[in-house]
Amino acid sequence: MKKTYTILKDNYEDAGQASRDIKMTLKMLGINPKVLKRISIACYEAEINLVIHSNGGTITFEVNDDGKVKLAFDDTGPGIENIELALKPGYSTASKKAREFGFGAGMGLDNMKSCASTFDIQSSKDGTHLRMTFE
Amino acid sequence: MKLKEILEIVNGKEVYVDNEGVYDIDFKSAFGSDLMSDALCHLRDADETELLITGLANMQIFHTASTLDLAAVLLVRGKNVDEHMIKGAKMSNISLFITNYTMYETCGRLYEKGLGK
Repeated sequence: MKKTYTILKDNYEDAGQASRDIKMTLKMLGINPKVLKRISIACYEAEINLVIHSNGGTITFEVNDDGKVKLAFDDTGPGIENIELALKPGYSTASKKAREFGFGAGMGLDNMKSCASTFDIQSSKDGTHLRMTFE
Repeated sequence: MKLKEILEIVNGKEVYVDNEGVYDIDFKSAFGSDLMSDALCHLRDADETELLITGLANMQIFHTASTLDLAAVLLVRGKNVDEHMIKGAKMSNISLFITNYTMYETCGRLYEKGLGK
């Protein structure tokens, strides 16, 4: 099973809806609740990042026959200047608006990394590509 | 601690109840924050017995609560809740309550009475 969602830049109003849909789908597929919780948290954090930081992009989730879940987040820029710094807990470049919406504590990437079984992030000015797997 | 007692302690009231079963939950602890990213980090092992207390009045409180498998949110400082917010609570299956006390006083009162001690 594979599904892709489009996420728009600065669309704070709908932020979180794709993650909710993914959670509901995985719940129906009978994914282990503890793993589902980790997937939900990481997916929501990453969706928020797309809204806050990117020019917009997509979320693709895939479930294999063996129950392994893959999440892919791809945007069209502007890219993360320093990934090492962005992964540091507490480091944030979030706007005032993002903070008003309850985000931008600088914990997102680190939280995603600790939720996922595998975590890979590549970024250039043309876009950021994040891959996470859960099992 | 049951919701009936929680609401008595903070002079709170019901805004939207998604499921009457929320009144039967024995809340073990609470987490107070306006930063949802903090909640997403600290409540990774939480369940419906955790109450989210916040002064943030937007849709993200429901997405956060739902992501964390919580059942209820207590809004502090008597924030205005419009129809749009109630629709958000309904879509996320989260019950919403409100108090006029500040975050500090709300948390202090509930902790003093044993919630999360």
